[in-house]
Amino acid sequence: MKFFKFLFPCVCIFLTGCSTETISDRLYTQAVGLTCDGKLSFYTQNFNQEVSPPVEGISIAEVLRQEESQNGGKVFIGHTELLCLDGTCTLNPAEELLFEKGLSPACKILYAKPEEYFQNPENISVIHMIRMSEQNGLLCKTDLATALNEWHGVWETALLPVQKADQSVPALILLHKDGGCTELSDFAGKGMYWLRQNSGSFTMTLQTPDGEQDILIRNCRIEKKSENQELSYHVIIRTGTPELNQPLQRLVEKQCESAIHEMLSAKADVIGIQDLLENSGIKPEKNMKIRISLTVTVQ
Amino acid sequence: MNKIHNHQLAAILFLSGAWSVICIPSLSGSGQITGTIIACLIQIICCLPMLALRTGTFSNQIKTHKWLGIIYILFFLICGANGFSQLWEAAPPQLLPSSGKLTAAVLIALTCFYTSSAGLRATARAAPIVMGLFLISLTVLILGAWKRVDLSRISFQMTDFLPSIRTYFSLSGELAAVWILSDSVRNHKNTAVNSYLISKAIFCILILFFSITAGGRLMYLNGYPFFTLTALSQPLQGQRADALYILVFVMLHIMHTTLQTGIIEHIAEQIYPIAEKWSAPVSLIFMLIPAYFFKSDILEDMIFYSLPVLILIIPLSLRIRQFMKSIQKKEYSHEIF
Repeated sequence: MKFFKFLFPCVCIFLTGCSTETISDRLYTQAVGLTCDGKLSFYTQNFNQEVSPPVEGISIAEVLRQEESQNGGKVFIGHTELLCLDGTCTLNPAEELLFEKGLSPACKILYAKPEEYFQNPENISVIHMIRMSEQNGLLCKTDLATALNEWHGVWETALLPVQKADQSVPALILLHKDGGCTELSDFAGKGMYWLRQNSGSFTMTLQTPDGEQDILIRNCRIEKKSENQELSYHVIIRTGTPELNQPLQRLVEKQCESAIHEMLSAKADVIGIQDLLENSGIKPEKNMKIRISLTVTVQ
Repeated sequence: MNKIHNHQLAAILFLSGAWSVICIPSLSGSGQITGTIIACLIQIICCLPMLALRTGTFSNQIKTHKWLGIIYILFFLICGANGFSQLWEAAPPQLLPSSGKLTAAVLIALTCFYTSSAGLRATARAAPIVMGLFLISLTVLILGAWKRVDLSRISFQMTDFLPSIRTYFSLSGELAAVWILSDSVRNHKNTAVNSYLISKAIFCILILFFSITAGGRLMYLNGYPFFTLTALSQPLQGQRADALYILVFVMLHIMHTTLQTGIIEHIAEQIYPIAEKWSAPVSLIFMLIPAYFFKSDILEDMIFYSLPVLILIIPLSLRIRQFMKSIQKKEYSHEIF
């Protein structure tokens, strides 16, 4: 027994260096794309901005195996920053990628045709564009985990960024389960920013009668309540420029109203309506009439 | 078995219980939190007879009534088998990436054989160190999940909590070890047992809270809330936290199995001193075999139905007997005078 007690840790220590796998045996992807036109097509781009030719298969496991054989390395998608999907695949394969293949929950999803997106390796800059736009208050936060949460709701829609033709700040679309999508107007897109996750500080430019003026947004949070089937959303914004509070309040109110109107017209929920209804004991249904009262306070 | 400190007792019981908490199979809603709080309160009450018994009662009882020791051995074998069964059912592919689940179970069993060979006291000494590593991983998990918390997803519910009380009890096999281990505690054993019960409930509530608020609907779809939470909680953008979760996952399972094996060894040593040498490997084999053939819900049912007998009925009847004897003694001394 004493011999075993001595031998066991010694063997364990020596076994820790036994792996023969080197970094070149692995393919670390920065962006992946999927289309499901009959067969599943899988696109990858590594961190050296090299795009691999697409592989085809009938399941995620098969396309990953094919990708490994083609690239001569084990595919690791744990550090992937961008998932490119179109209406053919929707978000259906994303769940398997997240929970079984280790895709990062913070991975951004871009609504685009992978065959077009992966033609130009420089398109990868859209990741940085999305991140900076989110930080600067120009685009609301979206990622894989949030999108999947919305996708599995009663209204089966997810809010995703989409690249604009002029390569400016991405727009937002509502992707539906049937593959169809509704593009939100710029105004509604800005409203979504206030109505979704709480955000940090940033500076925005406001159009006033005196011209364009910068306003510092210190903090923005949302309080949601549900009383007698009526939902109330209260957006509270703290600014560093009190004299501009009123014009900001009017602007945010308009943006939020526009966002709510466009979202409800598209029969979608990306602002947590379902959670509110369920918590107040109401079973949400796809065709139910939703009434939302909105209050904006700028302090 | 040598004496162990009260904080070591609390740590070893907590770590064994934490393994069961991370293997909670499904999430049913906010009522599960209410159920956990009620179950914890019931467990505190159930432990009172065990803690009221005189020190050394268990050892004396199993020496005279060997069948009692055998019943406890069988129970801990079921608890150990349940641990392996949970390992096979719950482990997601990203936590056991290179080795299969069977290989992982065999390797863990081999490690448990090594750790249990050092005795329960060594395991108890290691428990606070493992506890430290566990707390670091828990902090990382919470930090990662924090930014996804949406409080509108949770509400206080006093309905649908009965199934979660049952789940919590069936995942509390280590409660039976309280009586056996408390014989070896120097002092403050009540404090140790209460802090174990409360900290386990807090850990369970934390996991349920973050699963509901950060995971949302994804939790109800996937089952195993802790593992779904680990997939969603990646606090660092350039670095994955999977290695920490793998570490906790394996360490908790080792602590859980070592506790069962160590206690079986301790009981076997007192019933049949000759069995001491072989009890650890034999018990590990007898844990792996049922784990391979039975699903964890069958083993959990066995634990749920036998737990009240082992933690409440047997200790309570012994306590009543001790009390009656002390009354008889007093009467006898009065008669003499």
